[in-house]
Amino acid sequence: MKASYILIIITLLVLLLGFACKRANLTTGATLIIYEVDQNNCNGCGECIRVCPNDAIYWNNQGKAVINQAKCTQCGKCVAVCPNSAI
Amino acid sequence: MYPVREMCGSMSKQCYLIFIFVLLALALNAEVQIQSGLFSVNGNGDNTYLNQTRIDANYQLLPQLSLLYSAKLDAADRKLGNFPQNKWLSNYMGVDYRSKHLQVSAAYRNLAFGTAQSLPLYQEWRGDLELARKMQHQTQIEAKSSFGGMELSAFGIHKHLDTTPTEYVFNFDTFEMEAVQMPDRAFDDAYYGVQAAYRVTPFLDLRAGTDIQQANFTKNEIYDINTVAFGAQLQLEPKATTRISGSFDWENRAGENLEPVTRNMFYTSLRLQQSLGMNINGFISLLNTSCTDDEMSDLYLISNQIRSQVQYHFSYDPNQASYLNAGLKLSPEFRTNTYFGEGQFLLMNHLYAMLNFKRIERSLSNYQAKVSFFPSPFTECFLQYTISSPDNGDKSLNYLGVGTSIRL
Ligand code: SF4
Ligand code: SF4
Repeated sequence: MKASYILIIITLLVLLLGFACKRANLTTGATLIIYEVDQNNCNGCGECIRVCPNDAIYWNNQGKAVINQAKCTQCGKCVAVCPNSAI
Repeated sequence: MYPVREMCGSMSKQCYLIFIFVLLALALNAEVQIQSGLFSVNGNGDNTYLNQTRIDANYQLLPQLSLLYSAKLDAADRKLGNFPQNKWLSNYMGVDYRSKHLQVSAAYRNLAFGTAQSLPLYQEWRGDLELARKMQHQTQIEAKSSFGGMELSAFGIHKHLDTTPTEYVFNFDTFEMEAVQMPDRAFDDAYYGVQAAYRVTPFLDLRAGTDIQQANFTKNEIYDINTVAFGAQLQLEPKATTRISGSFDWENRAGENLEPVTRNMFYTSLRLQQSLGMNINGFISLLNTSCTDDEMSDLYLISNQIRSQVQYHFSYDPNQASYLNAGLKLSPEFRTNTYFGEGQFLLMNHLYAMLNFKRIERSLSNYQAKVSFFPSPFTECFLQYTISSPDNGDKSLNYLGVGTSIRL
């Protein structure tokens, strides 16, 4: 029973955050985009590390790619080469 | 203009080392897998050849201690598709210790960018400077300890990148920009952190962690990030064929180079995995990423994402290796919706055909056909044809090749 309550709370959170939030427009006029690696789908192949022009991606201890958000300039090059659509 | 010989020299030394490692692994009777393919590539430029080789070795030194090695080489005569290097070599050497309550792993990785071609690395930071990546080294260590429902872990990673900088200076005599090669320069990054997870009930996990990302190559700290995170994950199995999971994570990130509205990130996910009988199963997941600033003044949406995948296994194949798989990833905010489909079919004894399709909107479409012959369960010989068609107006690249995969 307790589990069902938690599940309902998470479902409500997904719906609330998905529909109630507004898009952020940055001072530069661009829309806010953040590139992150879905750890469940990454196989650690390193293709994204190979193309990233800002040296922003490294492997974590599980051999999965992680994006350093301070270096990432949201160029999107890593998205096109990922064989598992993990970014 | 760039030190071609130096880069390729370090790469051939590495290839020589790989050869030694493989011989050593074989002498030690380790589990070794070698995959290699040679492809003729045409379209959008001169015809060229691409060699792709992968080596994986695993040696169980003691029941609790294993040594791992893997190498990956891509070598062509010219740049292909989105990849800025025509040669690329990646090595991994690791040691893994696992006991009932303790797991320790340490590893060294390196990447050799064997290309005499400059990359726009860090160009956004200083427009007149371009850096060619030569070699990247990464050392890492992690320790994990678990007792009762509690798991504690700590990790440290050090990354070192060697580059050759080129500065563009204006020549007042010729009125043109001139490239001047500068002495080699290295960039160091350090990442370290600790994490704790607690299993409150068999279906609920709570986790907390903190980590520090430091880019040590600048005097100021604008590329550093300190993160504190808390999260909860729920996993339910109401029926043997149904699994439902949900998670919520909050991350507070402090870093000068981050957008103020992204100081607090919220990741929420829901996933339903369903199996319909023996042969068909699939999942659907919803992921939301939102953020807010430190004052929590407003909640902003970064992306909503739907992922779904269905897999069907054909029962006529006694090896259970014939299947159809289709999936999609939709995100209105990223506008790079992805669709894919793949199928593998047993044609006759030991002979399989594979068809593969992938479309990333506003990026590229990939089509692949492959015929594989398995003379033994550990050996594969294949013929493969791939078309990679970019959306940027460039011509498609066609790869036709043969290869083999052997497990020793
Ligand atoms: S979006 Fe661009 S800069 Fe950011 S990680 Fe991907 S390739 Fe690197
Ligand atoms: S390209 Fe994709 S699968 Fe490969 S390491 Fe990067 S994120 Fe992971």
